[in-house]
Amino acid sequence: MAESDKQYDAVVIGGGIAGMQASLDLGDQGYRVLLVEKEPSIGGVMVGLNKVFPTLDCSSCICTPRMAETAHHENITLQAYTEVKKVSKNGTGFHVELIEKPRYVDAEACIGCGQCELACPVDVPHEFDYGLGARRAIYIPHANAIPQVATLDVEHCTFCGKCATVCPVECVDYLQQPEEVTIEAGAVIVTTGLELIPMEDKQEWGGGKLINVLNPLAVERIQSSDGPYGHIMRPSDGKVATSIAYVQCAGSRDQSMGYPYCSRVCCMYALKQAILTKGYGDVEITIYHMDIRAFGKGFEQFYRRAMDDGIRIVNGKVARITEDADHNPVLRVELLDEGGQVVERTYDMVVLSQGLRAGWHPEGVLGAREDEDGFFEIPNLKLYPTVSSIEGVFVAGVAAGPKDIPDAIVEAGSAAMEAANYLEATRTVAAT
Amino acid sequence: MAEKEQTPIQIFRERQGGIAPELKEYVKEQNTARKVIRNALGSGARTVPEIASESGLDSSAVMWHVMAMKRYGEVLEAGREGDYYTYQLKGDGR
Repeated sequence: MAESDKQYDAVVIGGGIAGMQASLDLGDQGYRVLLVEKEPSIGGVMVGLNKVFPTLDCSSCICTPRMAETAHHENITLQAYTEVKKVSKNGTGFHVELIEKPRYVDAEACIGCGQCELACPVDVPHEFDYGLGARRAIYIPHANAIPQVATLDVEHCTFCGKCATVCPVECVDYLQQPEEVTIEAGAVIVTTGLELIPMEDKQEWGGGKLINVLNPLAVERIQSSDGPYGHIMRPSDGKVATSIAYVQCAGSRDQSMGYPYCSRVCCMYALKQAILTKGYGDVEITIYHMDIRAFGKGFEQFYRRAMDDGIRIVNGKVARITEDADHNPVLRVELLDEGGQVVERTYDMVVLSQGLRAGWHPEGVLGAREDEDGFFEIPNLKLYPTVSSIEGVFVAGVAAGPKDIPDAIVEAGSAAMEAANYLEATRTVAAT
Repeated sequence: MAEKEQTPIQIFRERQGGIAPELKEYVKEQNTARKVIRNALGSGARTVPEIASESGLDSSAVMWHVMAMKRYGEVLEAGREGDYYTYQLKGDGR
């Protein structure tokens, strides 16, 4: 096992649910793990979701215990707000160069009281709420953030000094600079997660410019009890949405956009959001699809529940989305089950069920190959689904391909086991 | 006499090249918007479209500002009128 502070048995890149699971699985076996996360907090996408399918468990309620366990584990060191600059092979292990970004706050001293945020005079669109809500220039990312410490966004700071004045523990540190950190690791696990396929290139659907045409993660925030609005309202004018349309396969299965694959989760998250919204009040919800993919455990029953709840699930291709003078989205749809009839329908809000693409690309940092869809190449997908093209580098979660939370967790466990086997095999080889 | 030593905030400001003109403009617009929204709410609880109409601001901008003011405790949700919630300034007993 690793002994020095700069040596770890494994470095895990990406602190979402897959990264935390892999770290815990290795840590529980006694291996020393460094978990690197580029955002100010671990938790990934999952901590911002409302509920998960098909169980409708509260997402943050099941994610935050993992976050706390990861942060407090004696064998896991958290390196948040840090980017990976370079990973190079060093014998059977790896030389990892990191850049720790300055928070301008002493993270060891900060008690997460939030007084700095309350004193700051500049409001900024909050990334956690996909711009719908606000944070301040100095802010704690969200109520469940770990570490629960403030970070100063220097691009929006007016240097008024109020944060330092009100801080009860004097932990604002304006003199912080980026810090280069170099470590040695026996193995690497990549769990860098996802991005949504952007809609800027889909001009026929508004090119990402129509205010009441939303991405599904923004809708997760709207639905969340700690979200930006408190109700299911639309961003243009605060109207409570009484008619909502979902457009499936937004970006996915779209050769013209360069994403020919199915993203696996969009049918289920659309059904989930629709079921939850229907439960909040009298709302007409229509899901326009090419086909509904409900393949997993409990998924078919979830789909039938949605239909029983009165959600209209319509086989239709949406050709165009525009908006009227009141920013009501207007869909032009070809109804495939009605002889190809083309209709125009107006809604309060539209959700594009955007597909998933890789959240990080290793080019220039780590010499791993990507596949034709932009995810990490897995040379032997059938028998070794978490082994990358580089010996000693393992992949889990959406970094390897679109998947849901349970599959990401299973893969994380597999990657951790592969990493453990690799560590034991290379140490044995080194000893003889 | 010794030169006055720079404070950390001064050093910080210098390292960042001062406040960018775009940020100055952004903060000015934000303060102006907040002022006109407070004026509109000064007459009592309003919906977002009503605030937009009275203030002359775009309703989507009003929505964002009102939600920000609600998050940081300056505005409270007052009630509901049809499909819209109404908002009032905190401390406004109406």
